[in-house]
Amino acid sequence: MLLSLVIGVIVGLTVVAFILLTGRLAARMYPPGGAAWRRILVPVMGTLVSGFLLARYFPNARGSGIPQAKFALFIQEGYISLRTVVGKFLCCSISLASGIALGREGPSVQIGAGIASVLGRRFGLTKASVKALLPVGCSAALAAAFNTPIAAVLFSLEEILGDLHAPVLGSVVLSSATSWMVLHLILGDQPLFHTPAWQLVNPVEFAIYAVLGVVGGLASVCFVKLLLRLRVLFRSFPPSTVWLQPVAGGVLMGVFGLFVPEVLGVGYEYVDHVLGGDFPVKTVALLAVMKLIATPACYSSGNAGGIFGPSLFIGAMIGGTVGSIAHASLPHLTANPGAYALVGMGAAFAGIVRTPLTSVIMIFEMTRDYSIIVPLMISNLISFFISQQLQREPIYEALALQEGVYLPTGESRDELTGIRVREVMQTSVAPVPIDAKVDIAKQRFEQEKCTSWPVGNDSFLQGVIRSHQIETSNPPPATVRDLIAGKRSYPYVHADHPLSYALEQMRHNGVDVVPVVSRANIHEMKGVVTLKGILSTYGLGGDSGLTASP
Amino acid sequence: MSTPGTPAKAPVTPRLALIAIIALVIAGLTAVDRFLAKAQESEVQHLAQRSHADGVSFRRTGKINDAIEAFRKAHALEPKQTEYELDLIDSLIAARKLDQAELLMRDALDREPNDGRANLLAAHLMIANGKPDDAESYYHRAIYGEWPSHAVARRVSVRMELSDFLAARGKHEELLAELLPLQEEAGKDPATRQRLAPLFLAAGSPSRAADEYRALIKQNRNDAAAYVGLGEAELQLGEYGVAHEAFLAAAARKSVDPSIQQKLEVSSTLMGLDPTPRKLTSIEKYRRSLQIMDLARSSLESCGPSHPELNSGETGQLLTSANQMLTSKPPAVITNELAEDALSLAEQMWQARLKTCGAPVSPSEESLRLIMEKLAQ
Repeated sequence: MLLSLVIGVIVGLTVVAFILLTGRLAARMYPPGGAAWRRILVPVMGTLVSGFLLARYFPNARGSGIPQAKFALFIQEGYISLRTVVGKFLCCSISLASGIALGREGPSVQIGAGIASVLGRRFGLTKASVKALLPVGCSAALAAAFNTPIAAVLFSLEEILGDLHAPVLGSVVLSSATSWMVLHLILGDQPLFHTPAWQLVNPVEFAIYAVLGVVGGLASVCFVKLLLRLRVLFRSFPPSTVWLQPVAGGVLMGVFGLFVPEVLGVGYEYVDHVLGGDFPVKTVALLAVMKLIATPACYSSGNAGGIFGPSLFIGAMIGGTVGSIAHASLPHLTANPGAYALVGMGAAFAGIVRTPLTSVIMIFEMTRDYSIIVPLMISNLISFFISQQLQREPIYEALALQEGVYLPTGESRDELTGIRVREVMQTSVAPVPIDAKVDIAKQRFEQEKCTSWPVGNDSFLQGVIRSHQIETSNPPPATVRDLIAGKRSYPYVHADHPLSYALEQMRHNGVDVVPVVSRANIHEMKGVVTLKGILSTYGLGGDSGLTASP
Repeated sequence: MSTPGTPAKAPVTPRLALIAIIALVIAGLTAVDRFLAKAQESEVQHLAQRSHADGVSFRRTGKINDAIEAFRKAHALEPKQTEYELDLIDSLIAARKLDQAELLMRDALDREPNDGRANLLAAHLMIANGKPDDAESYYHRAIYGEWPSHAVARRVSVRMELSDFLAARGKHEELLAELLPLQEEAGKDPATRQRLAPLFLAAGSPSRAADEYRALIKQNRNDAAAYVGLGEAELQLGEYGVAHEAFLAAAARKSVDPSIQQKLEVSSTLMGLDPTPRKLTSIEKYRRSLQIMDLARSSLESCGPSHPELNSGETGQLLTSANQMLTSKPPAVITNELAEDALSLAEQMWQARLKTCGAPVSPSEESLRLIMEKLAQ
């Protein structure tokens, strides 16, 4: 508990410094009444400098920070280096101040998790304890970065841990509250947004909020798909261009910013403006579209910064547009468009980040108005549902997948209970070489008394062959390679999966042996789990029957 | 494979040294944060002040939309500065952006329900929204609200504004209720008295108005407007002679003003018409009564063409009786009763005229109105 307090204080102070430094730098780069050329030059130079620093010194500080924090939590046993923390702080301060369309919340989460990880290690805690500290750091960071302590706790549990009943709940709450107090001590009681007093003018508005949910959901899907596709594009470029790729985002921002300065940066000032209800609808709609393009471009090109803030910006602009149209059509039945902008923020957040509970509580915390809950829930849940239907993989999981990292999703985390695969798995087993003759594979089946076996070279897994494949192939295959040619997917489990999941994989794929692979790389085989081994664990007779390979 | 129970790979710093390092880090970060926060605060304050000054300047030159933008920026930078927020609301009301003004107003009043200026602006907003009754209650809250500086003067000013508002709405009793404390609060301030006096007249209290004008004349013997005001108050009181003297004094100080000449004519006519002076002979009283009756008949007949029903029924009988009285020979013995009969007939015709055609609009009927009002008292 004491360590949670210390983490809360240090993370709070660091995130406040991060916010202030970024703000001061931005004020220097864009002085009031500054020349138009700055709006082109500053993003380009900012992304060039931060791109070089990221590529040369801080490769782990790239991107949002939330998938990286999850990666550290689930794959690296809670390890985030101090260098990454420093790099994230420095590179994000430069890139965000230069006006790229990314947010500070994601980086803050990684910084917070990193500080918690460093402190835990320095105190000589076990790996399990260090892992448990990561969500503590995340919630402290988000509470300070977004000024919403309850939403920060929920986000850490819902998104980072994927478990609302996590045993670290007490520590997460404590660090969040401490960090929030630090924020208030330093910056005073300033809300992030000055939200209008919300009011429901007529029940007809519920239908308009539902429409807002639909629009927000569709926009979220466009945003996520564009971001993922652009990321694939940038990843296809030669590795030697990695340092230069962020400049693509900088150039786009420069061009956009030259014509529409409001699109520069995360844009919270303009969100505040829109929440006030005074804005030209065309500008707001244009800003929504521009940000929908700019943020994926900036993120995918490898800049350091998050999508948390931009998703709120996009939501506010979409809400403002829908609200303005509704208010112009039904002036006596609808509230000020600012109210729709507020609900739109939650809808886009729920659609993009896919944390419906956090999105509702976050907006509720910002407004402190209980009556907004119902329209918020309507919009957010519709947006969440549409996003889930049209884009199966949540954004952070999809981004991790592109990196070859298999983070447990919210649903799969429910399965992480009971006896784990690691307790039954057999290590020191070798796959059948890919270029081996089919007879060698048959011998292995007989030797291991099973009907399937992994295939690959050394520890590089390439697939799984089944005995009936050999018997039913026509013409008979010469090598194992012929059997798995053209098959891109194969069954596998991770060491932290429960046995029930391994059994499910066996049933679904018709195999009695499933390779156990690394979460960081599914081609890295850690061992195998067999049907016999599982049955034996449950006292249903027989040993695994495995013998060590030569 | 490592197990979750094993210590994490990292150099474990000795406990005391680690605590010292953490304390140093916290102290260092706090210092950095404080420095950055202070720098930001002063920069934001400066920017907000500049935007506010721009807004004030735009407002002065009538560029209302630019003023709104500037005030909005100042308010966004320093949301706790009530002055910036209220200036923004004021400009939004002036630009008729009432929806936005209402949103901000609600927030401002939620935060500072007793703020005098916020309540005053709420009153303006209610007037703009066509809710005069709500406006009245906000005016009262503004009067009894908190004013950070010059509270007495501000309250007097708001009460004066409320009085103007009530006068425009024709709410005489409420107006008088506001004017009495205002008279007390204003003290000897001539500017306030100058505004108070006509309001007393509008509230139907000419004697108080006359007192105010006299006080003003006492302060400045050359105040022609005060003499005119006094004359009008005395006309309302039925003291036509005093009124005439006041108009003469005004004309002596501002002879070029044609409206004073007009008022002189009215007061002169009224002096010649007034049948109430004590030392008036019965003959003279009767003559003046007939003159008043003739004026009343003409006034009633002048609105006749647009109202043909006037020539029939009770009104027709009144006109016939008046015509008979005016055309018949005067009786040998003229008593006060005869004059009273003529005045009674004049009063009935006047009431019929008011009922049918409303209050007189022509300046020539002004004398008749005044004399009839005096007779009705």
